[in-house]
Amino acid sequence: MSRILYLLMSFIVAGIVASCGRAAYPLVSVDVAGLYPEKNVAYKFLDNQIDSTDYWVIGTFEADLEAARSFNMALDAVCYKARKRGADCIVVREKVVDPANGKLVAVRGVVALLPDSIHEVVRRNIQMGLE
Amino acid sequence: MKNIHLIIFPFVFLLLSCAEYRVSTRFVRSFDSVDSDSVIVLQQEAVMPSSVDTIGTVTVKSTLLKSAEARTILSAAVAATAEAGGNVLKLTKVDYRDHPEVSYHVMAVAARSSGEWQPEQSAICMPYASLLPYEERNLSVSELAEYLRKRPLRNTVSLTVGFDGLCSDVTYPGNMYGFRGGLNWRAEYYHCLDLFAFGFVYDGAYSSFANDYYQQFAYFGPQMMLHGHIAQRWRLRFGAGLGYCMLQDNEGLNHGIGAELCGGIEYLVSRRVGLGVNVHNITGSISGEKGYFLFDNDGRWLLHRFAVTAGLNIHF
Repeated sequence: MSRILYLLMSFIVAGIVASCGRAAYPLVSVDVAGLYPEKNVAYKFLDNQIDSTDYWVIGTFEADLEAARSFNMALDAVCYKARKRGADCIVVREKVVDPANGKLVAVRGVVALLPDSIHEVVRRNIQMGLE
Repeated sequence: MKNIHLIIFPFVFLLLSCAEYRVSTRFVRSFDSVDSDSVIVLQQEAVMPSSVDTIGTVTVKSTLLKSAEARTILSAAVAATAEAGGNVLKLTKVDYRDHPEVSYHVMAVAARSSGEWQPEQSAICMPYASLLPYEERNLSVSELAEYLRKRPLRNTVSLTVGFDGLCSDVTYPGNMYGFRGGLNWRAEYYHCLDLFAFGFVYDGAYSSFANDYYQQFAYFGPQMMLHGHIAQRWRLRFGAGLGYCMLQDNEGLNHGIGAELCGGIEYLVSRRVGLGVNVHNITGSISGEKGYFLFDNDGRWLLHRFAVTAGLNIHF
């Protein structure tokens, strides 16, 4: 009997921990077509910070900000997934605002590769991204 | 006889499962091998030009029990193509699995262009070298493998236990000691950068003396380290730290400040698990009046401890 109680308690604790973790980390999806080696770093840009001819789009992303603690935290999660899928940078193209309360609820954009010609420039000058 | 199969089958299965991936190739033509970095990788959406001749197919699959990252899978496909003399790799099917770990299965066509074809570089048509992370572009495939192997995992937890030597004079009723051996246990966590690491260390020691006297010592503090590989599976590290130390014996508890110097060598059993031997020296300045130590006029006792410990290092 005590073992069953122990198992039950373990499941409850695991469930609480999992739901806390779920609340702490935003829901993000990164969709990349093709096979690109994972990168060590991925930079963040707003659409107006980088010219669309300066990167090659390889996929899209979407982040649900309702589960995120902050905008930057959501983008960090996107960056992590994007660089694992081989992207050099993410570019935020659309911010979805809830008309009822004016709150930012989602972010959409593209994940991209940076050509050699501007990679060094980006690394030196635009690296700040959204920070 | 049936029993032999029962033994061989799991053995072969385990052997195959130990590899990260399996490469199968089928070439109908082959040429002198070419440089891997120059192989053009065409993604699935790219159109293969008519001037490029197909020479065979390449399939790379993550094994059942281990997952291989995209870089590993792609470099294997490119290496197989380059070895057969192909300079174009056209991906035909990419299966991506996100859970429980990222892994890929790739099918591709290996081809050879006559040299007239000058592809315009884009996201779906790039030389293999340009697909690699910017910091690693100029590395060959073998150098890249070396780079990845040597790239440390960023966090390490080390748990060791061993011999402790108290090298300071201490007097207990009826006996005076200049050296006393004991037991030492140690837990470390550090975050690694390429050459430096920083973290925290907890060090505990216990020495027993005649007539049931004992001395228990603990040190806790931040630590800075230099670390690096000296061979494929061997790593060295040297560190220093400053922290709080605590000494308890039959008479009571005393506190102080300690400084630590440490060095260690580690044998990596796998990328994540290592067996290490550490040598460290802690010098502590213990203040107080309780205890049988030879306190100086300022009420301080200078303590030297030397320890050799061995144990497990876990990298993640």
